[in-house]
Formats: sequence, structure tokens, C-alpha cells
Amino acid sequence: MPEAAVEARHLCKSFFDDSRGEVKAVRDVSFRVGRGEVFGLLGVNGAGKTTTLRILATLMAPTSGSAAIDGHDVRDDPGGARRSIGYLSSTTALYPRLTARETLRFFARMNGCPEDRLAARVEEVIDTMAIGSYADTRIERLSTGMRQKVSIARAIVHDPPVLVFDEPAAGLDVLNAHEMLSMIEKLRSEGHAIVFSTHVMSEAERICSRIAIIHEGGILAEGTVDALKSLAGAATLEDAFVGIVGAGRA
Amino acid sequence: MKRPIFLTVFEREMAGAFRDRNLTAHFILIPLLMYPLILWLGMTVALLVEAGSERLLLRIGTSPGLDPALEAALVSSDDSTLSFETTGVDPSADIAAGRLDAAVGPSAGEGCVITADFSRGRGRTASARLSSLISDFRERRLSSFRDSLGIGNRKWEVMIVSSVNEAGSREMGGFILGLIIPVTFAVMVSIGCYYSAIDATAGERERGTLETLVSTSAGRTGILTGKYLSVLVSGMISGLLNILSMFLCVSAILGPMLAGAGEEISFDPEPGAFLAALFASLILSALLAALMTASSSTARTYKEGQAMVMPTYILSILPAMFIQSPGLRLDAGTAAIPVLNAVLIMRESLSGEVGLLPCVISAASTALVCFAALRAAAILLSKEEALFPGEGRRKRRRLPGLISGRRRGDDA
Repeated sequence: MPEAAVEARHLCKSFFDDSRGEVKAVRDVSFRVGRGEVFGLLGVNGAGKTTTLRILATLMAPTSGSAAIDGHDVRDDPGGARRSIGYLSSTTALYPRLTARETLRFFARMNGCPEDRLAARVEEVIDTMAIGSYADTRIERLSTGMRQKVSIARAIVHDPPVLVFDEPAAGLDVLNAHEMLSMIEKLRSEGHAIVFSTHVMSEAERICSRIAIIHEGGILAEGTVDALKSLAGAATLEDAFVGIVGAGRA
Repeated sequence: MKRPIFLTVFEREMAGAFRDRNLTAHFILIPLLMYPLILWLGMTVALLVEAGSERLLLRIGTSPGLDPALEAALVSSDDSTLSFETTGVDPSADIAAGRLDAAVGPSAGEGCVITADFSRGRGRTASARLSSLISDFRERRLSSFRDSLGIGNRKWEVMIVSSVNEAGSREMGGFILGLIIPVTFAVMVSIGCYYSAIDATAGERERGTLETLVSTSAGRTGILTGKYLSVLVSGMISGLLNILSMFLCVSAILGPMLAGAGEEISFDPEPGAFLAALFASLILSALLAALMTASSSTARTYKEGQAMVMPTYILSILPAMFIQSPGLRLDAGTAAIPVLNAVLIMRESLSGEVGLLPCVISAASTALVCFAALRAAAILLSKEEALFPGEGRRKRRRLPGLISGRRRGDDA
């Protein structure tokens, strides 16, 4: 296995809800992700994917367990972890009144990019993501697909070794979703460690090096696509997912 | 070299604010255009009312028994808006039916009595014009008595009262500005801070950009400071534009009007007054920006933010309402009261001089409140509960737990 850029060890997260009482959103989740790997968290809505990714992004503290991003513990050194991470969640948004270029400049500065390298880095990312044709258009005037490309550009503008993407293709049409996955593959080939959550089997099957099936806060199985199929004795990932989740429920 | 986080956030907040039509309207257009519009509307309405009033033909009844000389004087008056007719002893029925607007008749004593329906505009106007005519008649009759008795004016008027205004035209101008500007200034600074504070906190959370922002490696203190500064500057812009607008309106419209009425008033304050006004604007904006940023920092939506900031808005402009109390001066005591100190500095700078000590006390008391408010906002913003409402709560955590310190390294 390549050197671990992300390591989660027995992560647990509980919170209190007035109507449901104590909710265990994440239970004993452990995994490692190496550089140049796309690690997929595959699960239905409410399975605990987003909470796990928020813990990795240091936006939530684990109730117990630990996680490290590029060697920085999320609890003891959240600043260091944030510097090493590019985070994109399905609920994150961009500033509607800034242009794409201004957005990249802003987030580069927020992530500590030095002024003398700022302009060159922003142009490099604009070229990489092929967003030059609308780089000076305000975000509020861009389509959903364009915005999502700018969001990814925003997440990588400070060149972090680890990328955490929470359902990045959600809400995109087929062509834009296809382009999005191609970009993630490109980022993987550049050596980024990518943690990627989705509930769409075809997305996971296409880009993930390894997949963890997560359900009701816990990981039920982990491995390559072929390993999961073999484990469940299924021909497709979808059948494997249904079989593993069904067995987990039983 | 890296740019400070607070400056980066401040720059983004201001760029966003200046590109938002609603925000621009609230902290630039309203303060700038409010007074010209109010003056224009006020003068237009006054002219329309006056013109309408001049065209009004009022029906007046004279009751039997009225002093014949008075009746003759009234009927022959050159006021063409009054139409006189003789009525019965009791004109109440005619007035109630609207056939008469007012009536004048003898009173039980020596004088006369005006009867009208004062709930109607026509009745009040008719009564006022009748009173004026009767008063003129009384003056003429008294003068003729005085002349027939051979008494000179000095003996007749036992005590003639007159007054001398020792204040110069500039002092009078400052006094008038000091009456008008401070209260509206406090309101305008509040409005400037109000929308910016909500947009910078609740608006950010509602748009979903807060999660993006705090997932960067920037420290929360830098983010909060940048946001606070943007709210402060919005309040200052709003307040200063309001003062400028008010000053221009008063000197360009009110000044010439008063000069036409024979009043010597100059709306040209001392140069130091502008510096003091700038200082007052700074401390008031700093205070309101801190209070409003703190009170809206946990709001999940723009609407919730408005509800949370409204009490602060009302409380913050309340002390400014006391500015007209007689004897209220800027001293060490009043300088320690936030908001009141700023409006008093504003008022006294326009009508006189402001001492250094009250300014220092005002700055210190404002800084203290700002620090406490921003500290509370920083603690609240560092909580998961603030970032993900409903998902970050931990059981058994109550207020003391909620206001405890931040997570280690959160400000790294």
C-alpha cells in the first residue's frame, strides 16, 4: 500500500437530537488512503459519509478515535490538517458576487499562498481546470456545471496533497458529471490522495481505487471493486452493495 | 509575503457588499438620499396643503346677540375664504349636519364664543381664522380706548418683553445641526451595520459559503476580524454619508429659508467639528458592528439574523433618544455610556468644543464592549453547533459548556 496521506482510526461521532435522542452518526470507522489513490465512501443518504468527511476536514471533532491528514492530527493540529486538504462538500457554495478568478485568488490567500506566487498559481489552476473562458464572469451567472468546476479549482488552488470530495457530481447532468469524474481521475494521476463519497455505483466503480461500503455509521466492507464483488458473490457493484448492506442489516 | 487574513476577508466582504444592490441601497443610497427626499416631500405636501387651504371657502354663522361692531367687522373683513350668514341661537345642528363650519355668538360673560366641530379639518381651520379676525378686532378696539383716554403706548404696555440672542450666526447653525443630526446619525449607522452584519454572518451560513470559508487553513480570529471590519466600515460610510447629506440639505435649503425669514444663521461649523464627527462615527460604528456581528453570529438564516439583531438595533439607538434632555452634557459619566457618548460628541462638536478626556473615556468604554462582544462571537463561531445546527450538539452540554474555550489549534 502507498504511504498513507489520510488515516482514520476508530472514528466515532455522536450528537444529540431533540426528537431522536443520541444519534451515532459514525461508528468505529477506520481506513487509510495513499497518495495517488481515490478512496470511495459508498453509502445511502444518512449513512455517515458526510460526517466522516467533515471530521477529516476538521469541521467536526470526533467524539472518539482519531484521524490524520498528511501527518497532521485533525484534533491536535487542525490548522496543519486544513493546510493539507482541499475540501469540497455537496453543501458548500461559492460567493455569488465574485468572479471565478477572484474566487480563486481569495481562497489561495485564505490558504496561505504567498503574494508573489499567487497570480501564477491562479492562472495555472484556471488552465488546468479549463475555466478560462468564464474566469472573469461572476459566479451567480455561471451554470451548475461551471460552478462545480470552479469549486474544484477552489479546492485545489493551494495545491493540497489531500482532496476530500463529498458527492461532487450531485446535481450535475450526465455530461458535466462525466467531465467531473475525468477531472478527479486527472487529479489522482497527479498524485493527490482523494477521499470521495457517493451513492452512485457507476461513479464509484469508475474512479475509485478502493471502496468502503458505509451503512448506519459503520463500514461494512472495504476493498477494490473486484474484491467487494467477490466478497458478496455478485456480478455488479450494485448487487454487491445490496448484498453487503442486506447482510449487515441481518 | 502573505497577505493578512483579516485584510483578505475584509476585501472580499466589501467587494460583495458594493456589488449587492440591496446592501448598497441600505448603506449608501438611503443615508445619502433620505434627507433630500424628505425635504422635497415635506415641502411639496406643505405647499399642496397651503394651496388647498387657501382655496377653501368656509361657512361661518353669526348668532343673535353678538356684539354688532364685532359682527360688522367680521362680515366686512377682507378674508375672501369666509362666508358669513346669520344663524339661530344654537348653531349646533347646522354644524353637526355640515351646513356650517363654525359659528360665533355671544358668551355667557362679556366675550364671544366660537363653536365648531374640532374633529373636522374645516372646523379647525374656520375656528382659527375666526380667532385671528376677532383678535385683530380686539386690538383695534383697545387702541381706540387708549387713544380716547390719552394714554401713551409706554404706559399702556406695562411690560414690554424682548430678548437678545448673544449667540452668533455660526453658533445658532451649530445648535440647529446639533438638534437634528445626532439622532438620525445613530439610526443611519445602525442601518449601515445592520444589513452588513447579517449578510456577513447569517447570510454566509444561508448561502452555504461559511462551510467553504472555515474549511480553509485561515484562523477563525482573522476571518471574524475581517468580517467585523467590513461591518464597521459599512456603518461609518452610512453615518458619514448621512451627515454629509443632512449638512448639504440644511445649508442649501433650510439656511436660505431662514435667511428669508430674517434669521441670521450660518451652517458652517468649525473645522474641528468634522474631526469630532469622524471620531463619533468611528466609535459608534465600532460598537454597533461588534454588537450586531456577535448577535447574528449563530443565526442560520437571513430571517433569523434579522430577528436576532433587531433587539440590538433598538437598544443601540435608545440612548440617542435622550439627547434632547435638558442639562445632558458630555462629561466623564456620560462618556462611559456607549451610543450616548457618540451622539453627545457629535452634538457638542457642532455646537461647541469637545474635551479630550470624554473622548478618551468614550473610546475606552467602546473598546471594552467591542472586545467582549467579539470574544463572544469568536467562541460561538468556533462551535460545531454554530456551523452545523442540529448536528453538532452533544448531550448534557448546557450554557457553561457552550461558552467554554475553543478547540486546540482552531486559530492556527
